[in-house]
Amino acid sequence: MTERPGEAEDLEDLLVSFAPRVYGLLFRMVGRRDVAEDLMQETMVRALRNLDTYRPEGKFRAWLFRIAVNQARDWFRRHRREAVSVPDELPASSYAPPDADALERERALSVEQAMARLHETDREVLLMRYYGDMTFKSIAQATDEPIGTVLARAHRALKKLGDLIPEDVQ
Amino acid sequence: MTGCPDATEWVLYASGEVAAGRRHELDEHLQTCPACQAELNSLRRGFEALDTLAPVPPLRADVLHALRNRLAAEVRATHACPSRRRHPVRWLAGAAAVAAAVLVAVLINLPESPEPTWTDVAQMDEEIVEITAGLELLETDTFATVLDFTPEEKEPSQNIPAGQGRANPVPAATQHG
Repeated sequence: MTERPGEAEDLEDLLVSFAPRVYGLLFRMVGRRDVAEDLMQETMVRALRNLDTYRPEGKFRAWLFRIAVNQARDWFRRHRREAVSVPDELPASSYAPPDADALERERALSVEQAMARLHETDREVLLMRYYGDMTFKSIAQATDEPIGTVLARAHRALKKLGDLIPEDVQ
Repeated sequence: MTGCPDATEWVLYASGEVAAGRRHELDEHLQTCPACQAELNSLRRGFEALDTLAPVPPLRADVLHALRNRLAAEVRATHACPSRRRHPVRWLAGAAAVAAAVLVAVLINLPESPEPTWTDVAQMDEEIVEITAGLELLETDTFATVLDFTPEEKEPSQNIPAGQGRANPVPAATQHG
């Protein structure tokens, strides 16, 4: 980034550039497009308002994703009953890429359901790694947890998901 | 390497986040340890499972537009209402005022000789440098760095489109079926 300090427009651009990733993470967390869109916007506004809580020794992305994850957690707390297990945005037949065959679609649905059954914090680690494109070190920073804890969460989640994929697929 | 590495280290390995030197050691270990090969393959299947999911629906243009409007409105509101201004710039101004007061105090307390000695001037210079450096540090520590941030350290999956990333596969030579 080559933004010049002190120019608010640049900060806005910076936040907007992160919008798709933040939205992607939130969509996978809450499973609803409309909610993910709202939470993404809230995340960005909060980031703008709380810029003074950012510490340069940390990564901007980790700081931003931490706000996003907290937004999702708050949403789950407020809507515990309607916590989404599987994204309702997509019909069951489209959990896989459009060109997937029946077997792949079935597997995709299984994975989606398995994701939903993961412990919330385990799922968050996986989603941040996969959809947020964050290193585990950055995730540890974002979640304020020791790297060992983050890796243990990832390990547990990956093993559960891995069981769904037959060994011969590799 | 003596003994098998901790299982969580294979998570880093499967994710492509192990330093080259360590990866070489792990590669060698894999050659002789079926248990760790199985562990690694299981984790890889976990990453692979994520690949089977449908892409996240794209972020709609109107949502992005709305976001821009909200952020712009937020900035306008912040400027219009100083009490909402929480940016470090505000307390930078305060720090500058304090620095100015210190300078004035220094000048007032100078000996009443007709002209300051070079020692006095040098000391004042040092104090000014210290105050200036303090202000620069404050600035560096806050707003400037946020905007002038650098990308993360080498990301393990830079080649993957946003929202569809997967862990970097390890080199083919190290993969075990």
